[in-house]
Amino acid sequence: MGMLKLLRAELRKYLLEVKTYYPDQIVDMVVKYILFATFFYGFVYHARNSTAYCIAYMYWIIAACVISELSMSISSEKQIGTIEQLIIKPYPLWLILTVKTYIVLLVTTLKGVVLFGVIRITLPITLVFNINLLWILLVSVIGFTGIGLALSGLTMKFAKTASFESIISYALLFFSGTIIPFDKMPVTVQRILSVIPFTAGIDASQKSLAGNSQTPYVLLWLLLMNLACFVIGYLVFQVKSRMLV
Amino acid sequence: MNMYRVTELRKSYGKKADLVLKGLSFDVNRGEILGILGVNGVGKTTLIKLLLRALETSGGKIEFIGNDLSKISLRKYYKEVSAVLEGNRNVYWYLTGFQNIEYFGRLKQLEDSEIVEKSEELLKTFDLYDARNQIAGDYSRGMLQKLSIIIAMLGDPEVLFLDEPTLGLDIITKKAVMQSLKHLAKEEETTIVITSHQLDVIDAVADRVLVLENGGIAYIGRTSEFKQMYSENKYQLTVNGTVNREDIVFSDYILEEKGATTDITLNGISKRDVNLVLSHLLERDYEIIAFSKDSNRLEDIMEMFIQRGRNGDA
Repeated sequence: MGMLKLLRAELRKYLLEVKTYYPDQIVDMVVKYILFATFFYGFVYHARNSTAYCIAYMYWIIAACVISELSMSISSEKQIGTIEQLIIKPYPLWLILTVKTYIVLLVTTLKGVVLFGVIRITLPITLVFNINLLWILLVSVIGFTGIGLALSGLTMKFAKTASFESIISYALLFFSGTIIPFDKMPVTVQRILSVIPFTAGIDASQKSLAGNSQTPYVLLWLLLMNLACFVIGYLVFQVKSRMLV
Repeated sequence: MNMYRVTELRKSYGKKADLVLKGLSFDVNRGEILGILGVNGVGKTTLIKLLLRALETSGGKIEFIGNDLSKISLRKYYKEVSAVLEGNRNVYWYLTGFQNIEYFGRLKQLEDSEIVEKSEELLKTFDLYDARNQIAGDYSRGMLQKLSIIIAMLGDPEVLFLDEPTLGLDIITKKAVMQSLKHLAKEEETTIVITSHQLDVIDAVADRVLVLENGGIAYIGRTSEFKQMYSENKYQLTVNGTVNREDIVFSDYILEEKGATTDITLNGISKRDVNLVLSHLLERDYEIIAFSKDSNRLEDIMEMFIQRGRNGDA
């Protein structure tokens, strides 16, 4: 019941925010469409298969959404002065922020569905869907949450941390393989990327869509990596957010 | 019964930083209103945040109803305490007054029916009912302040922390807030810890005051005693026309000409000397149109407090 109240509170608040600032939502969708189309025509149209590109782009949008929402929302709550009010509530702050982020993610996903509908109509692209993608994506969101919580905790202590969030988001764009496919990256970078949950999730999704069945070992490894990422992020948040409010 | 027992409480912002609070020890009783006073930056808000567990202590101990506060479940603690911090910056400006109440009420784990019922009562008490569906961004400073107080009062908390709750409020609303606080403390046995630079508010509601100075407690005791001790030596008089400085037979005064009248503030003056000053002015045919003992400004009292070197009185 307690969790339901939190979900209802955050959902209603976010929907009211969307309603108030609806032009921002439209601008966000247009920007995402333009970015998608630019990369599609500029870098990959002649070089690679469009499904792999779409997967990478989708992962980037979701990762950027979760990470930026978690880190930026703490910064904005600090600025508007509501952070203490959130701290002194029966729900732990990390949970409030995470629920809020997942609601934003849900709305972003719905916007994504609309966006991909427009993409399908306007761009020469074929999109396929596989249920395995959903599981891999959900597991990946656990890892993104960890990164977001870590940044959020650091923002609690060092107010300027959130300013670096966009660097991380755009670094993820590079590491997602949206611009350059993984196999075209330098070998050293490829090795590093193989142990990053974010790219491992994209890789598993792309292979899954290509018809390669994933071994339980690969999926378990993906789950462990993302869980580890979450636990580290959660611990960083707890330690840093306790130091100075 | 003690709601809080604070022992040797210390706080610094950083390992190498100076202590903001240097070993405070005091009790807060159930159902009492404790006013925390002190000049800007003395650590009033820090102390409230420590009692709220929104900050970690650097040493010492805080007990809440006999239990170590650092070991109490936050989930349980935050169901029992509430706060208004930093005045009007406690709400979301894109939500209406009622939507803010609803959101924070749900975060407080209150039932929707309870939120509606309680908020209706509070909105009417604070004369905000008609503006409940207006977005908070369009509220005046006073309205935002009232909204913050309503949110803090939701769910009938055991302890209420209020940091400058009456800042920016008109006289009528200020009185409504003060009456509500007194009602909460007396009838509901709510413990209230309040900071304010408006001494009239502290004077009207606080059973006891705690004065912070240089990181320590300069005074703790009954409000009436504190006022009696430190507010008796400042007088204000207004005289028709201009006044020659040599006609004021006292050295520590401030003279301000305000068009047709002149204001004279006599600082740190005894009752005997006040009589002398008044007699001297009347003998010289000055028309005294107003005369009052100035005892409402906290800053003046604190200034006198520091000047007198009474740091060790507590």
